This record gives sequence, structure tokens and C-alpha cells, in this order.
Amino acid sequence: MSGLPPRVGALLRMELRLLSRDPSALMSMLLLPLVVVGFGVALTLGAAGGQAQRAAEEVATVAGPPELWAVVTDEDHLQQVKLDEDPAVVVEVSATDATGRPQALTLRFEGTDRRTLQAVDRVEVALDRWRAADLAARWAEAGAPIAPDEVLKVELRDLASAAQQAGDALARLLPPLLVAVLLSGALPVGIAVLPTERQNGNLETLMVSSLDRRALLLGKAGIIFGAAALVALMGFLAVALLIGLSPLSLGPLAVGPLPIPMGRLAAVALLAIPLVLQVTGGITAIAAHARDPRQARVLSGPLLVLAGGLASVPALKGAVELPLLALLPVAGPAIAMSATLSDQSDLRLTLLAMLSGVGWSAASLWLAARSLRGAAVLAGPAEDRSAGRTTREAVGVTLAAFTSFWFIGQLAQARALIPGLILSQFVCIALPGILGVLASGQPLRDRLSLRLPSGGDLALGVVAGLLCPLVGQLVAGLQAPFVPTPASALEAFSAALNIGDLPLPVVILVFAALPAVCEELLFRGALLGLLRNSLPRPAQVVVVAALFGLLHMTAFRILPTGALGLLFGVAALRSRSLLVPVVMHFLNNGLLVGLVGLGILGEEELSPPLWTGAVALLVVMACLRAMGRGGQPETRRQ
Amino acid sequence: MTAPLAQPATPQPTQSNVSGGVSVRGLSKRFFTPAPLDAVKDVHFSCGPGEVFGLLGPNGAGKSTLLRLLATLLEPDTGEATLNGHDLRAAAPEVRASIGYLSASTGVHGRLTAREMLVYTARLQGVVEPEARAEALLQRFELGPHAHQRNERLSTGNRQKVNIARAIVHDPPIIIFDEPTLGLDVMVSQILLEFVEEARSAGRCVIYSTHIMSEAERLSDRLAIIHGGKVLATGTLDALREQTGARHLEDVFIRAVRRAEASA
Repeated sequence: MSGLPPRVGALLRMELRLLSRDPSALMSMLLLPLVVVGFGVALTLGAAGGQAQRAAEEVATVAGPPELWAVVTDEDHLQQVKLDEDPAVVVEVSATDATGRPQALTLRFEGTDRRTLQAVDRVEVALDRWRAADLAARWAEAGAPIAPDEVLKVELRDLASAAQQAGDALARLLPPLLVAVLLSGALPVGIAVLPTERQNGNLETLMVSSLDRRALLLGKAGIIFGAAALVALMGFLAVALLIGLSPLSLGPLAVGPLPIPMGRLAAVALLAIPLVLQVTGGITAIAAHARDPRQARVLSGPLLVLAGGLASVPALKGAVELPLLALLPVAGPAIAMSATLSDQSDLRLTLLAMLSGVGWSAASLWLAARSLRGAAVLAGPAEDRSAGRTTREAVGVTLAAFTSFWFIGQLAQARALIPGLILSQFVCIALPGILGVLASGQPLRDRLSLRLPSGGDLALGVVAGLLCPLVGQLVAGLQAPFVPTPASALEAFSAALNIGDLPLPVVILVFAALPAVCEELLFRGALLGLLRNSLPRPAQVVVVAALFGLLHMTAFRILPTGALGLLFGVAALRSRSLLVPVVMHFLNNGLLVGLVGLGILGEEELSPPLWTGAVALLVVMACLRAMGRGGQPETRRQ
Repeated sequence: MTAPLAQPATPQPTQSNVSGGVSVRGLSKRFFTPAPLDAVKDVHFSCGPGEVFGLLGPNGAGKSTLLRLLATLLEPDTGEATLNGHDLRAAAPEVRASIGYLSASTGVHGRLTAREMLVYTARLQGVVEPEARAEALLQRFELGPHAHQRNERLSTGNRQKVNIARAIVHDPPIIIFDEPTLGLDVMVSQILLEFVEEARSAGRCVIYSTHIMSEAERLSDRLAIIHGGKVLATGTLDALREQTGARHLEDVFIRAVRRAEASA
């Protein structure tokens, strides 16, 4: 075709003129960033008002031998707890008794931003470790036996003003707000240029014109990109204004040196580019796919909520989960931007954001191109769907389960562990799976593999299940040099099991039986069943296992759980019964929970030699190979 | 024919604007949702320059799907078609440059004026002098007095004129109209029917679908009766009358459909 650029230019000019005459799209594009400006002004005022009083004190009243405080105030140790650069927390002996022994320890820190608070946390953790380790023994030797709990009583006094604290809260809202503004600013434009045109019968005319499809896509994506960029520029300008107005020493925006040799503003702008790219790509893909504006709005609603919610993850959790960032590219740049704003700036985050921005945008545009090229939605009935193929339902189930589990489930568990766990397993895990299969119109029992296995398969499943913990340990051991398992993880697990001093059977029911049934219903039941006609069998198992690993969120758990997911998946396919993976899953969880619950596994980490794991893996694989060969299950079809 | 339409405008200036015909050989298209459905099944027909070919069939017969296949909006499962010498599959962009497509659901950009819309479309189509071409079309369709009004303020008739003008802004040798008179009153339909007759005398190949017998009777040089995705009968109106033994087109149609249903 002659001259792609002039055609794209012509399309852009037409779209621009249309946009300039569309008051509602213009309003939302231009007014929404004003919300951010309002936030920025409020934040700045809050920060300035509290400047004089911006200090906080934590007083720990202690009693103990002088050498402890020598250690605490020791510069070397401060470096050990990673306070070496620009120490935000000053530890000093603030009171001594008549003999010169320290009576009180003061941690002084400026501001209540996240980095400072984290530094305080690190000092507290260091003090905690002394207390827990050999402190009691040493004090006993020194003739001053003190119960460990009395050593350190933490009393936090935040001296920041109310305005200041409000400013902090607003700053934490800023990243999700920016994402929401960007999305809802670009969305009306996206809807106007694709689904509305389609509804008005104009898109069809464009598609049968000699205008190259690439030109069509580039022109449409171009105008959405332009709108997103304009909105982003205004939003980020508000942030810039904010940073410029507040003295660098103030509050949440007072960040340390950036990893890249450029100003904070430049870094924010740099992170805005992938964000704009992602928003553009996402909206173009959704808009190209939608049959009408209403459907586009419905489809993009979850995207908006998801991205805004994910952008607030760092603020809620106080830390950035790297795997989460890599997995959910929609909000990658937003999370990175949030980290930059809050001051956990990291070159890896920035690069990851850039990569995910470009990657997501390219993938979305490819999807949009497919939607346009296939023109399936123009034709009335959808095309290119073989009978019985339920990939869309599988994707829907995955999104529903993951988003509800990560947001609702985690929140519920944080509030109340046991009821939260029960709720999240039933509502966020099992329910989406069952509803997804029902929505697909496929027979429930068949797709969920709800049939009894042969006795031989069940026995093999029991043997394999008993060995699964060793396989998990093997994978954890192998990945340890790259992704170490934090020492605190087992302690946290152990602590969780001890909540309310529940009897062991109840603990096993809640921590082993419930997840085994609900998670298998979702993964080896619904997802494996819905992907049955979409992928070759090995790919089904791998995809479902990867999702199973990803559900567990934390980096060090992804590979071990993913590996177990592979075994469960193979067992489900070979035995053609969901009961076999349920039993394996139950035995794996039950063994771990039981060992911890009985105190066999406690403070000490269980670290069996790796070869036992390797042997276990071989035995499990032999069991899986043998499955499905013995007597055919009575209910087996075909 | 009127002078303005003669202006060469397609992106393939070496091709004569009236040279092309349409030849369809065994086109099929199957949809899978909500239930498997053969929307178009093994359809054959041809339409030469200066000929008006009518597709006659009830709602849901597959007329629109067939025309969408020809307009490259859908990809056929099997079969071949040549439009203006270009293969439907291998040379879709050239096919698109050769056709002017208009359906009942085609709309106008309400926020643009007629002139703006024609100029932009001409630019998008790669017309050499878009302003001149737009002006010529405005005069041809007597839209001059309304050219500065936004399309949303135009009457239905004038809107339909703008639509036709946009569809042929690149002066295509083949015209495909999908139920173009659907929902239009008699006076507005008349504009369209006049245009079709004019296009025929200008040597264009016109394919259009309708379920209105009188239109088909008046306009078509040849007809195809479509039902259930299949062509039940093709030929001139006289030939069809002979085949079915009926006098009125309506009876021809009903008999063809009943015969097909009986044999199915």
C-alpha cells in the first residue's frame, strides 16, 4: 500500500477533529487530572503545616548490662542492620542509672515516611533477635536475670501533626489515583474511537476502505495514546508541582538517591511512559474487541479496578512484591512509580516497569489487531470458536479467583486468620471454579473430573502424596541459592498454626483438608477441565501448575508449589479423577501442618538432605506413571 | 454518466475503473456460536461490469455474511472469489480498494460536516485530490447547500446521500450494497435506486442484497435466491420464472424456498 504514514496522519487528523467536538470525552480527559492537582495541593499544605513538629520518638525502656547498649549503639552493628547510608534512625542511650548502666534507649527518627519506619522496624527486629537468642543466658550469667519480655517494651509516639499524617495518607493514595485518572481519562477516547464508531456503522466503512489495517490500528491507538499522554502529563505535572513545592526533607516524598543518575522528576516521567503505553494498549485491545460502548465500559471496569488496586499494593503492604509486579503487567509501572514516589527506588523496578510496559502494550495491540482483522464482533455471531473450547471461561475463572483471592481473601485473612482462610478458600478459590464451569455450559461432573478413581490409582496417590513434602523441600533447596526461603517464613507459619491453641484435628482440617479440596476444585478440576480442548495435555498441566504456583504469591513459594502442581496435574489427568490429587494435596499439607503442630518442626528448619527429595521425586514419578494403567474406573467414559 | 464520477481516484490508477467483475466460486462460512451454523454454504455466482446482481432472501438467509465475505470483513472457510481481478484471500487490500461497500447499518460521523467527512475519507483512501473529489461528489448528490452542516443535522435522505458518496469516494469499479434501503422511506430509497441504475449504466458491477421483491424486480439484471446459506436458484428474472413456473417474483421466491425445504 502506498504511504502508510500519510494515511495514519489522515486518520489521526480526523480523530482529533472528532475528539475536539466531543464535549463529554474532553471533559473527562481534562477534568480528571484536576483531581490529582487537588490532592497535590492538599498534600503540600499538610506537609508544610506540620514541618515544625515533624519528628517522632520511640522510647524503649530497658534494663540490662552495659555491653548490650554498647552493641546497640555500635556503628558497625548499625551497618549490619543496613542503616549504613544516611542513617534515618539514631540509636542513643538516653538515661543511665547511678552506676552508669543504661536505663533507657531512644530511637530518634525524622518523619513518618515508609523508609524511616522500615529502618525503625529493622532496629526493632535486631533488638528482638538479641532478646530471643542468647540474651537471657548472658543476663543470667551477669547476675541480672530478667524475663526476656521485659527487656524491650516498644512505645511508638508519632509526633507528626494530624495534617502531616493526612498528607502521608494522601501520598500513599497518589499512585492508584494517578492510574485511575489515567485510565478513566483515556477510556472515553478509546470508547469513542472504536466501539462507538462500530455502533454508528463507521468502523465498518473504515475497515472496507483501502486504508491498511496497520494504519487503522496505529491511528486508533495513536489517538488513545495521545489522550493518555495528555492526561498523564497533567497528572504528573501535579505531582511535579508537589515535589517542587515540598522541601526535600519533608515526609513521604523525601526519597534517597535514585539508582539512575537523574532527578526524581525524570524518573517519575520515565515510569509514566510504560504506564501510558500499557493503558493505551489495554484500552485499544478492549475497545477493538467490544461490540458496543457499553460492553467496552463493562470490560474495562475490572482493568481499572485491578490497576488501581495493584498500584495501592505497596502502600498497603509496605513492600513491593517483585513476583507480583512481574506477573501482572497492567500495574507494573504503577507499582514501580509508587515505589519511586515512596522511596524504595530500585533500578530493577524501573527496568521491569519499562519492559512490562512495552511488552504489555505490544501484546495488547496484537490482540486489538486480531479483533479488528477477524472482525468477529462485526459479524454478529462470533467466529473461530470450535465446539467445546472453553478457553475464555478458563481465563475468566483465573482472573476472578486470583483478583478476589489477592484482594478480598488476603484482606479477610489479615483481619481474622481462620474465618478469613475458610472464606477465601470457599468464596475466592472453589466458587469461581464451579461458577466458571457452570457458565461454560459444560457438564459439571465431567469437567471437574468428579468421579471415583480405581483402588490402585488411589493407593498410588497416597504413596505419592506422602512423599510430596520431600519433593517440595527438594525444589526449595535447589532454588535456595537464587530465591532463599526467609528464616521468618517457618516461624510465621508455626505462629499461624498456634493461633487460639486449636486442637490438631481442627488445624489439619483448616490448613490441609480445606485447601486440598478447594484448590484442587479450582486448579485440577475447573481450570484443567476448561482447558481440556484448548491446549495439548502437557501444556494444560504446565499452565495450571504455573497458575497454582503464582497463586501463592511469595517468591520463594512459587517454584515449590508449582512443582507440586505439576505432580497433582499429572495425577489428575492419568487417574481421570479429582480425588487422587485431592488426596495427594491433603497428605502434603497435612504432613507439614502435623509436623509443625506436634512441635517436630518448629524453630529449627527442616532440612533433609537433598538426595532424599530426589529419591522421593523418582518414586512419585513412578507412581504417576503407573496410574491409569490398572483397572479402569467404572465411571470412566469413552 | 455525470462528469464528476469519471475522475480517476483509486489507488490502482493502472486499473480501469469499470473493468472489474466479481466471480465467486464455492464460498463457505461456518459460525460456531451460539450453535454451529453454515451461514454461507458453497455459493457460486458471477457479476460482470455493467451488471446489477441481486441477492434475494429472507432475514438470516446468509446474504449479509456473503457480502461481508466479499468486503473482506470476514474470512471465508473455503472457496475462492475474484473481485476486479484480485483474489479475495491473497490480495485483500487490493480488493478493498476496488469496492465501495454500504450496509444498512452504515452511519455517518455526526460531528463532522458532509464535506469534512468526504475529504477525510478520500484522504484515507489515498485519493489524489481529496478536496476536489469531495466537491465533485457534493455537487453530484446536490448536497452543496448542506455541506457545511454537521451530519447529525441532516435529514435521513441527505444522510443516505452522504453515505453513498463516501462509499464511492475512491471511484470503485465494484459496488456492494447490503440491504441499503432497510428502514428508509420511499423517497429516500428512490435516491439509492437511482444511483444503482446510474452505476450500472456507468459500467460498474453492482451487487446488492434485499428482501424487498419490488426492488429486486426493478433493478436486478440477474438474481440469486438465497436461503439457509445456500443459493437455491440463479438467473435472470425470466429464467427464474421459467424454472419455478411462477409469474411474480414473490411466488418464484416462495416456490424456490418451499422446494428446497421439501428436499431437505
